[in-house]
Amino acid sequence: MPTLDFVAYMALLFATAAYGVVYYRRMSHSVQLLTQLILLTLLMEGINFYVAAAYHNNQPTSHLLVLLQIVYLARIFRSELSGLRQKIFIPLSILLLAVALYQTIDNKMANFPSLQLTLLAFLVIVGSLLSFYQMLLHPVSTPIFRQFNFWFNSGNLIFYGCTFFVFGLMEYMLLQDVGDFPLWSYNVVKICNFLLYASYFWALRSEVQQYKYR
Amino acid sequence: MLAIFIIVFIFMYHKAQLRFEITRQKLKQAQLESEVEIRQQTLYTISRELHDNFGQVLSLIKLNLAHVSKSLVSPQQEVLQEANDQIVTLLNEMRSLSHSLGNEKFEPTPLPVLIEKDLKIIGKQDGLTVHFKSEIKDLPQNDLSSKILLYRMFQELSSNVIKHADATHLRVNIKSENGSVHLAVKDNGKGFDNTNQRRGKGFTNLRERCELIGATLKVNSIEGAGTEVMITLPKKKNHGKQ
Repeated sequence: MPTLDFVAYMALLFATAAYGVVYYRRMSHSVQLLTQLILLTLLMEGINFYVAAAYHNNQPTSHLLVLLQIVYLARIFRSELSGLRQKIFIPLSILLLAVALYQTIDNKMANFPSLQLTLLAFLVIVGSLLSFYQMLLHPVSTPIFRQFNFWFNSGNLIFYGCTFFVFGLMEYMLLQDVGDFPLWSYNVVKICNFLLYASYFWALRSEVQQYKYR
Repeated sequence: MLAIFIIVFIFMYHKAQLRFEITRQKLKQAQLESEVEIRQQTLYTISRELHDNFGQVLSLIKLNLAHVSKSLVSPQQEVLQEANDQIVTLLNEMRSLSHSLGNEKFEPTPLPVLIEKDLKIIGKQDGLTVHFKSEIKDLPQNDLSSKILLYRMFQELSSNVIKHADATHLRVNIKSENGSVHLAVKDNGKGFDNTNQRRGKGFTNLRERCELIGATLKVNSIEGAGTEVMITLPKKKNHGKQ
């Protein structure tokens, strides 16, 4: 039986994906990629839920989802970044994808993809910071709260920054052997995940609103 | 920490946006200035061409007609005399137009005098009475760019009144308040709907010219009750380009 949290999360994912699909033609290439990623995430989360219920282990599909997220988010940042920032980001994303892929093949697929998630978080944080820097270098007249990049990067920084922090905390607790992970750490990740997709929704909305004025 | 970072970023972005807007405004200003300069140069070239070339050719035609008319008898001579008179009228009109388009008259002539001269010509039109009042002798800082642009804007506004307003009275006032100069052009014509897009474009051009000299444009129009356009050139340390 799905929990209320999960239903709310899936509803948010569905609403964001549906909004993206409705206005798909009005979007730039990178925003279309984000819509595709949200759709795939929705699909994969559904499969994850089914696999977990049927086989009591959904880690293999989680591995696949993380790899898909690395590929899609790297492509989005590659489209959004330009100049030296793009030149820094492309080899970094290829390197991190190769390491993540190697880890997936080399490690047991039944384990939690913690390293791949850490690599994804690192990649997205670097991409968001580079994108923020690019925004400062090349500002536009549009108010910041109506810009796709602002919401996309803010959501990414909050979610992946928190994930990074929580993973670091878990690693520390494991090393110190202090017992079970505190419940709040899971809740922080959950809340940040909601914030991530809410900011993605707002990013898509900002893009669609901008299209009207183009 | 992340929230603080994002808030700091928003402030930094606002600052960057402000710098970008200032640069964009400066570029727009420079572009407008060059457009005005080109337009002014073109008018000057046309003015010279009218005066030096067309004027000379017409004078020659007039002389030839006078020469030919001596060897003719009435009624052909009368027809040629009529043609000769028409050429004289055309020459005078052309000289007046050439003078109006040229730049050389601007420097020594004060703005109220330029406007008054034009209004005298406009006043000769049937059915239009002009009223002119000026509280100033010239622009306070003898700013040539402001003078040319204000004069051109007055010409455009008065031309609009003649062409479109169906007015019987045209009133032009120039006054000064605390160093600011106000130029008001008012008519009692048919007025227009302020939201009309086509007219909006005409006023956009006027607004752009105003921006160039740091002036503001205010338009009050009521359908059936006339139009008043007020241009205010504020007192400035350095307005426009000399």
